[in-house]
Amino acid sequence: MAISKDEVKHLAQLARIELTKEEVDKFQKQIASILDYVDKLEKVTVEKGEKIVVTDIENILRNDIVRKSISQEELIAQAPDRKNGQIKVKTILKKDETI
Amino acid sequence: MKLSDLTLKEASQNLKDRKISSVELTREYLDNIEKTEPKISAFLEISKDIAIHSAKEADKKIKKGEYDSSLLGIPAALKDNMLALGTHATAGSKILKNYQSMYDSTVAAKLNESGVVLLGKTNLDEFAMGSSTENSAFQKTKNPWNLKKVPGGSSGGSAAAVAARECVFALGSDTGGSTRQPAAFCGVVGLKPTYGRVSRYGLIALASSLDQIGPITRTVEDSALVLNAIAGQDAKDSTTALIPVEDYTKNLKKDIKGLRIGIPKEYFVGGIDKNVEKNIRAAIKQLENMGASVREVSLPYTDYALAVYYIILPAEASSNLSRYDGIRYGYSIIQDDKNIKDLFSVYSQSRAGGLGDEVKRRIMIGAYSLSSGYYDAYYRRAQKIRELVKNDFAEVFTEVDILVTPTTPTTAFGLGEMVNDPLTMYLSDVFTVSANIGGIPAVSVPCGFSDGLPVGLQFMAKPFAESQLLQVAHQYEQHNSWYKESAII
Repeated sequence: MAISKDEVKHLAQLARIELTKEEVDKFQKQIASILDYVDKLEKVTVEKGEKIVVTDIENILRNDIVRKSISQEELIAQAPDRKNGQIKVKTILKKDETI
Repeated sequence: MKLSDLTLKEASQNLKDRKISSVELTREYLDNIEKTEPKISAFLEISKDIAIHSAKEADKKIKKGEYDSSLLGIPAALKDNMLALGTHATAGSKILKNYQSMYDSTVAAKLNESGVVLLGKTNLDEFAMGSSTENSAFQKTKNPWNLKKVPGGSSGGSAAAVAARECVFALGSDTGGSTRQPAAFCGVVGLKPTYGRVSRYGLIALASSLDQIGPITRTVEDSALVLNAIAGQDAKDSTTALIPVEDYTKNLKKDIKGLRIGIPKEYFVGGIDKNVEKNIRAAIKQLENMGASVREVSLPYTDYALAVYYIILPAEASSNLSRYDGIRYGYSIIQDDKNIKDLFSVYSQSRAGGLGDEVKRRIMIGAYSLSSGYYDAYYRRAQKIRELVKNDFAEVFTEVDILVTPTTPTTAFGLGEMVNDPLTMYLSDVFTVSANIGGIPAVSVPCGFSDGLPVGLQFMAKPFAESQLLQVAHQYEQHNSWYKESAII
């Protein structure tokens, strides 16, 4: 299965990974060879149907008991940018923009 | 005989009988590390202070007559994708280079409770993606049997450290063969327990429907002793099974007369090195001589397991690794570029700078197979074929008790030999991935040498049949002396 440069760029955007031009070329070839390999699965007849079963275990519940956890201060201590006990991020919405 | 030549079982007997102290044992291992590390580079962090402190605590306990665990005072190492308080947890990635463990993984807590002495954290392929440990962002680990060869991966640091006498045992994680393949390459024992047998809480996730933690040890008995300590249900990992933990050493001494062993014919076609095959065939013959009934069986979907794996793994990994965003912890572009303007660039440039090529590749393949238009053709199809692989095992285990195969198609390959060819590298997992796809337990045991490099024999069993799996592996091991061989570095 061939994959185009634009598709690689699109995937990189979906994956939030900035790629250089050289990387786009390199990954295009490598991803194509891996997709060629996994295309052998086309030879297998599989049943249609919605259900995918990965494990037999379901709905593991626990009692709703309040427990002490790690403090907020400790939890965010490794965040690269902090302010007033909170994690600081760049602007998400531009001025006058609404969701 | 040096103290570091003792197996876990022997060392713990000596500690119990107070013939040696944990401090003596620990110091010898720390000396070994100091001497050997410049050549092997198995460790990313050496926790000397923690080790000496725990060793003293263990000795105090033993002196008071409170010896209560086979692991008490035993020096060990953890793969650096497991959190342990007081140490880093880098997962071999630049994006987690300075990350401090926020809490103890369940395995670290359990080993700690058993009195294990933590010597340090071992090298791995970045986020456990790889088969040679060359994808580590920090260093290349060497194979103790031949310094020009890879130790295997992704738990290459753990396997090399055990083989080089830098620790009594180590933990690895196994998503597609990552404890068994490096164990085979380094001439030690690597176990992947049944999916759900050991808690993954505090293990940095790769592919959550496949990941499992397992011991890397010098002998099968040692593996059973470590499994005893780490197995069991855990409220913090809801995939752990309620099935009671057995004493996995209990059946080791039983002979294997009448045991039904299956040899899957699909594991002996093409690509397998002639010398490796010779060793495996000899081992099978020996199992037969030991009283097992051996017959050929078929697992028809084997040929598709690796392709299934390379769709499911990237899909799950792309989701698991989305947490490394340059915001909450780990490397962020804002540390290097204060002028960066928008949030999207923080994400995409932090990940561009913090993640290595193999990780980027797999995240993108995962995004591809999950994206609309390709989901049915790739991800859903792979999940459906996964069920067929599982059914293969369920059926074959109505006819036989244990399956025997090579662990890998070849012995350890050369450093740098495959780094630019990801697909060929993937093929070294061809015999190990099926156990992860099927969720069954499997173990690799040394079964000889080819050109001075160890060969691994793989045993597979029914889900939660670790006791039987380790019994056969132990019986095979003890009929041979391969496990007594040690690498001269």
